[in-house]
Amino acid sequence: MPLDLLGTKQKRKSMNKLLLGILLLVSICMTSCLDLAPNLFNPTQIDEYLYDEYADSEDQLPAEYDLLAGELTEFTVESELDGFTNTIYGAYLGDINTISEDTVILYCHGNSGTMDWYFQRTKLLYNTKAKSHYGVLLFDYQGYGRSEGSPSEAALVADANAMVNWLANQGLTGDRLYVYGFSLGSIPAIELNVNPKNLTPARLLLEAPIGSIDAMAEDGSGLSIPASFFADLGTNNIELIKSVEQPLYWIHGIADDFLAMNTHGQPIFDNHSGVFKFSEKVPDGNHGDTPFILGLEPYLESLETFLLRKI
Amino acid sequence: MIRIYFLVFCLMAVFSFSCSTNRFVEPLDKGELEIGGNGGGPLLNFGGSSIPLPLSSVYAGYGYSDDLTLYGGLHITSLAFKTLQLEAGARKKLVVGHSIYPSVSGALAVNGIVSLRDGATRVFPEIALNPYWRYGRWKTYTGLQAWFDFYKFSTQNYGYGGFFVPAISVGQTVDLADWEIGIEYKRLAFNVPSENSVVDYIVPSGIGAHGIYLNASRSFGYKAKTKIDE
Repeated sequence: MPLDLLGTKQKRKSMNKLLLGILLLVSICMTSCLDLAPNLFNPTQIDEYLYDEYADSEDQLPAEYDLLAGELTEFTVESELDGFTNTIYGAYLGDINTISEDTVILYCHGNSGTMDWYFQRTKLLYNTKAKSHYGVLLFDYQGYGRSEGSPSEAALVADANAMVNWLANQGLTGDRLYVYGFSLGSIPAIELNVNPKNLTPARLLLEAPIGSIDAMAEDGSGLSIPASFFADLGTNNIELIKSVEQPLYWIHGIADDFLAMNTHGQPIFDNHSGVFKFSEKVPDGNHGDTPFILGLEPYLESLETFLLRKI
Repeated sequence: MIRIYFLVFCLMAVFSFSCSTNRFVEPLDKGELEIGGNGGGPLLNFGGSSIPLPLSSVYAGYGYSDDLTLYGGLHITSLAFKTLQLEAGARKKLVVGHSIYPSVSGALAVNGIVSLRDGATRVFPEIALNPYWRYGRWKTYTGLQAWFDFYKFSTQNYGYGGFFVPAISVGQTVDLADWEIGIEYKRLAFNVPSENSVVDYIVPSGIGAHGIYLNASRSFGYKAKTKIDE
């Protein structure tokens, strides 16, 4: 750009100032290490767990699903990741003294809320097949509820492994461990099945799972942009599920307006090549309400169909 | 009720989604240099409020001739999140308007995006056609714009993805001495379902998104002033 075209000295000065400002802005941006990965998580901290007394739950169950005295145990375990140890909270539905004989469902919850929010759902699982039939372990990831630390993809898996270790210490064996992952919880749930650290789970259950961060980006933009354009996140359950050999149960709302069934759950289900898989697509089911839209009894029957099938 | 608030997380998911104003709708005069910036993006629901995504970019253009402007841009918000997005294009005046008939200009551009994390790259060609009316210091314009995406979507086998992402727009600018400020509305991606997206776009039809953008630029050429005076 010839300078004589820029007019007066005053204009050149003005342009220099503007360019300097832009360069400064660009420099700041270049040196920034902003990352949206932490914003994947939506942790809620609380001081006390309320369980059935939690008022915000939209899905209170009928009294027939109530737990009996002594059937709920709150406990803590230590979760280790990258040399740091954090105390995380868990709640066991069932009798801890019979874990060495029982079949247990490890429930990996979603991104919103704490154990309180998911308590009604785990009561449903607890009463699948028969009253108080399965043991259910619910826990809060790092940064959620009363658990210490900060959430991350790696922390989700570390926390789930810490819970599996706790179950193993109570006498559980892998053939009696089932893992249920809802939404965000599909990340540790699938990882536990593919890369078990202690016990190898026998079955995998997924509700409205995340397909991949790439799929989320594509859904949000309408363009084929990869996840690495905006965050250091590596979740790709659509690929990881190919390594899952355990039987798979998948339930997804057809009307899910957050993690669309066609771009998240369906590819996961299709890519699973294990010994058996079962799908439940729920008309009008949205993200988070699918079991309740399906109906409590149909939901439990659906779970039973899968859980009781001989493999 | 588990509506998970990934909204901030998803800001970057719309980076490359027609996320700036139409560039140099009225081509610069020969030798004229203009530098500007814009901010805004698709409207979404954030904590119960309607806000445009705070995407931003800076750009510069040079009047190669009286009816051909060459320009380039750098997207600032994406850069802050380790993604380099550059655009380069050319804008040509196609029709000289008179009376109520608008002038028309067209643009060809390319948008290159590189992840500074892993080097992942995308290149999206872009075309635009813009009728505009100038009356004194004021300029009103409309536009039809399209991005082309030739890459394979990770979920392509499930009926998602397409190579054509269009937008229509309308904008208004006013010249203030050497400065031009403007506002632009865009109807984005009206062929792409957005209802089941992680981003809570405010669009009743469930298709695409509405976008609002603000723009400011400064001219550094001799003729910018005369254009206003005409």
